Amino acid sequence: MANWIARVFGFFGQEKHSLPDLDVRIGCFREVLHANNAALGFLAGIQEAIEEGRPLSAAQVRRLVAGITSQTYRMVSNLNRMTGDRYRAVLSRFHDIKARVARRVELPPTLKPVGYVVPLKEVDPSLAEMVGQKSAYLGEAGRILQGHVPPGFATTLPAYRAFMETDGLGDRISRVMEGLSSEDVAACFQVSARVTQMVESATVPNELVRSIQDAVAALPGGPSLRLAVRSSALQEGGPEMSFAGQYRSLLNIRPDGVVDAFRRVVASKYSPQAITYRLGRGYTDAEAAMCCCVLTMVDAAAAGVLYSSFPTSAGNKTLLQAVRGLGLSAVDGSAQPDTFTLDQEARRVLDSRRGVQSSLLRPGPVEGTQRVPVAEESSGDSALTPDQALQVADLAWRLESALGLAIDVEWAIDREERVFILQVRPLSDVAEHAAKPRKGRIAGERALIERGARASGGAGAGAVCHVETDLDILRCPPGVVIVTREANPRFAVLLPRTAAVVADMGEVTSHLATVARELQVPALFATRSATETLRDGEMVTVDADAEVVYAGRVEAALAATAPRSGKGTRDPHRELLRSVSDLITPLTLRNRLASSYSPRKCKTLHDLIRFCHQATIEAMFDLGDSAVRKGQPLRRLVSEVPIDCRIFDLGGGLKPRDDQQDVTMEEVACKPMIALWRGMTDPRLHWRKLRPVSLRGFMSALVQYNFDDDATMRRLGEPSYAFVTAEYLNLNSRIGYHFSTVDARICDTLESNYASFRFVGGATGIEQRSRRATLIQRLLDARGFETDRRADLINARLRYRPPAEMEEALFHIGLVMGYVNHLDMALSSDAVVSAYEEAFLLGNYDFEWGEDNEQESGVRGTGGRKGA
Amino acid sequence: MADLRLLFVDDEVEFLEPMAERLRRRQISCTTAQSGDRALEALKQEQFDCAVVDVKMPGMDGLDLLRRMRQDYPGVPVILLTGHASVELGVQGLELGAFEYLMKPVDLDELLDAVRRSAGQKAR
Repeated sequence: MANWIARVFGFFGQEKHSLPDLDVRIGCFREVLHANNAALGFLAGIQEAIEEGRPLSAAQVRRLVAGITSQTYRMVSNLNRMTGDRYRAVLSRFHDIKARVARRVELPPTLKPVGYVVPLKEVDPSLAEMVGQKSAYLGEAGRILQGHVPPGFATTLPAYRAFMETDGLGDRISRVMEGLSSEDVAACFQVSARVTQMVESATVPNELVRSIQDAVAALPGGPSLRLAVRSSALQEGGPEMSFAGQYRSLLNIRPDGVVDAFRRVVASKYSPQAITYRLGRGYTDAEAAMCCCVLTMVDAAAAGVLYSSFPTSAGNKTLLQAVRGLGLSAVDGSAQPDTFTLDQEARRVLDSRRGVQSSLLRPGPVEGTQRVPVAEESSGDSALTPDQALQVADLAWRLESALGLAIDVEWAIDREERVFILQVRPLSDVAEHAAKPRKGRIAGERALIERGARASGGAGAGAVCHVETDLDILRCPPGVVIVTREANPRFAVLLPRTAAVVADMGEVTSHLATVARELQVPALFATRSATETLRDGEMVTVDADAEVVYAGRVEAALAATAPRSGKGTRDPHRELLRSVSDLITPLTLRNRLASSYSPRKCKTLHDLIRFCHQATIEAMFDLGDSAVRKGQPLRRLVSEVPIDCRIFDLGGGLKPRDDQQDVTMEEVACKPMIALWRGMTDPRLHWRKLRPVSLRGFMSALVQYNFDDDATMRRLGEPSYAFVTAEYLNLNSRIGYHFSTVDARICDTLESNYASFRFVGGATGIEQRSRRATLIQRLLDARGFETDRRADLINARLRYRPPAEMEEALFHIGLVMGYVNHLDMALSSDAVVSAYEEAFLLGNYDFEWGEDNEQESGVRGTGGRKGA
Repeated sequence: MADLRLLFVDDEVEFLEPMAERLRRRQISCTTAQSGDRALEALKQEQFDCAVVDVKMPGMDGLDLLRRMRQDYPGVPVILLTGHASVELGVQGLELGAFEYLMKPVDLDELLDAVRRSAGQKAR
């Protein structure tokens, strides 16, 4: 060991900087290489997580992002340590990028600890992570609109945790929920029933009971005080989900019933639809917490929702929907609300449309709510006068301008005609959805229903299944078209496995519609007559974009709709990862040498990774652009393989010679390297030939790849470094934009023998790069390697074989390296991958995929012989 | 290859003991401690080549222990092992002088590799 250290670092002795000890520098060098591999592994993991459709949890996102950030830091810090802080500028660049990454993926540290409850007037958005988004916005709204938000308080995350920790409730729930799948609706119902019962009968800790009672006592209203206890869900470490209507709100609760209501609202976290929804999106139960927003009850004469900015044919307008009585009827699908369109600039009602409401909800005489029929004499009136509509809109406009964002609000007008805001949220996807194009009816097909409102776009076909009750939900088979009277949010539990939803009533603004859009299930609401027209079991095609239901399966309608990309596409964690990946994955550095640009040019973590890798190697060998220095034990290999390879002899890897000239393979004494090179220089490989590329692949390759002007050299990329002894090889190479490592030992002790191969990257898009990695994986699998692939990163390993077999394995790696070089451009489809795989296994190493191959099954080549 | 003496610090005993047992089977002599305080006691009594430290522990957390160790036992490299991945805490730990930052669930080979690298042995 000491011997080769001295040889490696002999030339460092002349350095004037105060550098650390040799062994420290070697340690740093090794750690940079290690961190580089680890960082590239996380990079591949991030790309895979973004591309693939599997649900992603907040914890997985944090793991990937924290992993790549910490490994990048290790590269930067070890580089600085080994160079006596020569790259301090890189460190400050790292900290800039890291701070931006952290801001996106991590919660801001909570500045002040909060108690179990916080009065609403003290709540602002900075407390969102403690009280949930609903309470946070409402607290802010109260400040902006003095007097128009009912008095109340919020229960906090610490309150939820204290409750969950009492008698091990949280742990008991975890055990019941273990292994549950969102596909198994019956199991979700069973677990839901059990957990709900556990939560509703659990002990609320005394201190929390007292806090809630004190907060209630502080509210005005005396003995007749009634309260609304609403859910304010909290998603730790990730963006908020809509969870529209999936949690419970309890209305008209007596003061002494608030503690129990708290427990029931927390229990609604385990409703079947909430469980299904969370599981389907990859959230773990522990990541979701439940806070409550407790408000003084408003006895509403009319109530509803409002969207501050909604696209219409005449530009963006304000949309208001109103029902008589409590506002729940406006969003639970049981009524068609009255609709007002308002213009913010002109401050007037542009249009109003009367809805259909046969029953209304009102507070019960003692507690709770009751549904009563709308009185005959008032059913002809609108729920709201135009003037009242304008008053509601005016509050919303003030909020919108103060918050600086488009919002949707829930509002109510009490019997004294005072207007209250009950909920404020940033405007959801409704507006975006409404702006999407519609389709025409398909001629020649029989339409069963031709009216209704597109609540969620797309088209789906299946057998009709009428659903009204919970029992219907359990009986409902997968793949059907659900037909129902009311667009009740309870049916959300069925959506992940449903072809489409049709409802007699319901609005595009309803909760069920929101969930349908998130899960990309086509939905047609307000058809008036679907439950009467569509017969149970009959095959239909629902084209929500055309607002038509056809008899039978209508392929034209289905084909015109883009295929449903599955429930994962709007996964908020994937969106988070995608948004932060701009700071991580792109590689903007194009040059070969770290010394040729300033660290300031590093814009992403990938840039830093590459920069540090290059700078470390330069620092280690002081290469720069010059040729091998005198006295340096580094030799350039002259070989027919177009790789600029520098050999670093750690002892016994090169045959002894006096001069410092270039070497040829004749002089290499390293067993693994000889075997590898035999594979790479196999005469049947066509290294110099450019593989044919499809135009698209070629263009994208051109964009990313600076072709070397020096055509006579045709050296593909930067120098590769081989560290050799007689038995050991470590070869690091960057060719174009891929990066590979071969690490191997061949000796007579079987247990010490191994060969590992790692390959990542390329010049093309991630899809083609991943195909190349797949091809490599299959070719190495075929030779008995253990392999592991993540996106475009492939790891392969073979161990404990006798020397002859190890040499064969290295030969095979060499062949594969030669075969797949540049193939990422050619691998335009999975079929092409298979063709290349088949050709290789037949020994047809100069196989080229051409247009004519697409007709045949594929393996036509020129030099096909069985491999050695 | 000489045995390595490892100090493994984690408050979660269900994780700590099985992991220590698996390390012992790989010729690592492994002392366990369920808190920062107990880790400091162990450090007073024994010599270690390396410490694996959980970040999130009640009382003295992993970063506090790391600070103390850098000051009093600078020769013992610290590998942070966390169940709560965090960009800020990870970098902070490395800035404080941690040798490596690993995340649970951790692959045994990966942990072993980090232990050996930190103790200055060849990775293989």
